[in-house]
Amino acid sequence: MAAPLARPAPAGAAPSAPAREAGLAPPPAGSRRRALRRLTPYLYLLPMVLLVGIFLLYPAVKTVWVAFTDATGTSAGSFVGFDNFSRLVNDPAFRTSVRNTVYWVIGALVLQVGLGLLLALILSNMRAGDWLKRLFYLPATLSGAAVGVIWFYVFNPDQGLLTSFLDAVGLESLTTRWLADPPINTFAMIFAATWQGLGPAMILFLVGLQNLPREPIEAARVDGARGLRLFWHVTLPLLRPMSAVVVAITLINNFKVFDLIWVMTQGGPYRSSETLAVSMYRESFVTFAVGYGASIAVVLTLIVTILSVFYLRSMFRKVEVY
Amino acid sequence: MTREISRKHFLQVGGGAIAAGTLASFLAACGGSGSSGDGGGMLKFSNDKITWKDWFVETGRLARDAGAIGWRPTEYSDTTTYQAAIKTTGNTPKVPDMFSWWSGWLMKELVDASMLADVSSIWEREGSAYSAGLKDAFTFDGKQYGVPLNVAYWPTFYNKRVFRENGLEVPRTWDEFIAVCERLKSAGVTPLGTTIEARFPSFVYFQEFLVRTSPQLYRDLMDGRAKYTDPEVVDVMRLWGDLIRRGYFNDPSAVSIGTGANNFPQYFKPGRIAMVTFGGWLEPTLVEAGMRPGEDYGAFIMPNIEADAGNNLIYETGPLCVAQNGQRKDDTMKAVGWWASRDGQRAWIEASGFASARSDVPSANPVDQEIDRTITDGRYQLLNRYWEATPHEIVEVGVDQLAKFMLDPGDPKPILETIQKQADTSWASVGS
Repeated sequence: MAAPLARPAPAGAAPSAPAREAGLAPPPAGSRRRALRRLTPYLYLLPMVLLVGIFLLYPAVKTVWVAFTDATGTSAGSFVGFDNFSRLVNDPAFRTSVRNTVYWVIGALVLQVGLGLLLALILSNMRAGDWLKRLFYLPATLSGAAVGVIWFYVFNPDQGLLTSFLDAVGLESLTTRWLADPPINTFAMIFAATWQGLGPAMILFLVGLQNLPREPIEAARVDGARGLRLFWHVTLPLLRPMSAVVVAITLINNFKVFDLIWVMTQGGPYRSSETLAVSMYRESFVTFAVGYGASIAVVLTLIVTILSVFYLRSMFRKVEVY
Repeated sequence: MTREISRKHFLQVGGGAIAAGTLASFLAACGGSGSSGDGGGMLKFSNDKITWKDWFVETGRLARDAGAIGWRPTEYSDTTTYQAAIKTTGNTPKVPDMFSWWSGWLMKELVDASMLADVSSIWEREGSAYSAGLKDAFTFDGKQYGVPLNVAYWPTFYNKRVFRENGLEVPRTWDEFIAVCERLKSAGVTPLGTTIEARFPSFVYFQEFLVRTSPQLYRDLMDGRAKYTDPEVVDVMRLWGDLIRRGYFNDPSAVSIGTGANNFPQYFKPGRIAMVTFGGWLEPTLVEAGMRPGEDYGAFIMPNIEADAGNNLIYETGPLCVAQNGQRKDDTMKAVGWWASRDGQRAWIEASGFASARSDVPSANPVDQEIDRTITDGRYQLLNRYWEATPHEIVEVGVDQLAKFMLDPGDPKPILETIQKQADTSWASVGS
């Protein structure tokens, strides 16, 4: 397509562009209005862009920079290249931390998502389901710290509810130092987190189940599909949008789990129950190896981002229902 | 049949779910928050001693009545968060006017970062009433950067009723101490209280047994002149492990000891645990649980393992600091000057019931008065506790490794090697 030809300016019209650029003449009122109109949407965006920029992007970029320094709580430190990252590889506490984070993520996916779906399926077909779902959701209204305090006492190996219960039913041989012996301490905390996280997963699945299209299910029934077969080949694929949401939220929540662990064990004893988020906090704000702590933050962010992108990409594919 | 999940659909569902979750978290968080009232012209006094609030408020009121500026305390319930808050604001105008801290290496870090004001003028005025050892804990390059907020000795507290019922006397020698432990154990009472809860208390018996064996070894270890892997230190750990295996200690993961939410009185008051070596700041917890000092519980200094170890006692002291970059530094100097004065200390000891740091102000309760007398009469050497006496990077690794040993008291060598590895790194960086 040919470029539009410039028309000669009529006599007495506004000064030429070079004259305006040189500041020799004010822009015409119409052009100012047009410029303002073009700017208006950006003005609306400005407050949020500033907020996100100052409180999210700047700290994130700064954290990446700090990860390459030996900053402490009281000094900005100097550039040390990849030293912090090579130290991570050789740090046994970091390896424990990665292992525990994997336990948390797998545990949460199996227990919170799996049990959440199971509960939703059971309750959606029960008359008392309405009441029971409220009951199951109740722990989710508590803060993570409060849940930590409650379960800290439940798991007390001497006077705790769990030990007392096992003693009462003659299973005292199963009692152990729930929060002191690894990896049982991590499993115990995953259990506590499930108690709290089950409700929201269940509610989301219930919403998903209620909004399923009736036609394919009824068609499958007419074709003779029942029970597990109906669930596996029809209901579950139809639930996929909601499963994507629940799994994504659960993944992200459990990669960054901190409050419950900090209240229950502070990552201890001897750093045996730390996750990546707890190690990051401990290095940054307990020992004040801020540069090293930032390098853990960078690794954690990379893992979560990569996993989320791959997971969500795979979920956005077309779904075939047989 | 095909069904497509669109980004829009995902965002609609996900956005709703996240918004609901955020709202729930926000509401939950609101439920637990509280705020302290506005103190008007009062100074900002930050600390991590949440259970001392009423005492700080009371002395702040008395300071104002006495013509100094009063203060409004702000407590942090978590020590780690508190340290982070002070360190990150210390060089900004946001720093609180005055704040509590820790002596020794933790304090040196703030002095090196120019966060603390020089309070030598207060020591010139009030110093003669305090012991020289105490002043040293706050002295860097000949200047003082804090006044004593509190002093706590670390004796062994014991349940007097349990001792009476079992016909026991306060032990004077190590053999008597072991005999007491044996007698208690055979009576079904756990002799010694211990915990790993809150991380730090795992150093308590390590430091105690070291000092009872050789105070010089303790000093050398704290200053990097001795190694954790030295045979004498290994022997102390073996002794400790032996006492754990004999059943002299409770399960350290079951009991919490300290201030605030801890369950130690549930064991100590009814006599399920008979003794505990701990800082004197445990006493208000015991008193609050209904135990009377001098009648229901007493204190003694643990006998030496090596008879020639001399008279030594672990102590701790925390400074009250004036922020160098605070907005009301002059007013704060006046307030802290009053705190360190005889009137200020009398008010503080009366309010808190703690041991007194000043020779002209008596301690509040008979147990502390008895310890004061023992220290004076026996010319006891005071040794700063592990938490402050050695660089903090070593302490952090140390308390974790010692906790591991308490839970599984096997071969101490791997434990000590891990601590020494950190000690080598730390001493290389600070210069031994």
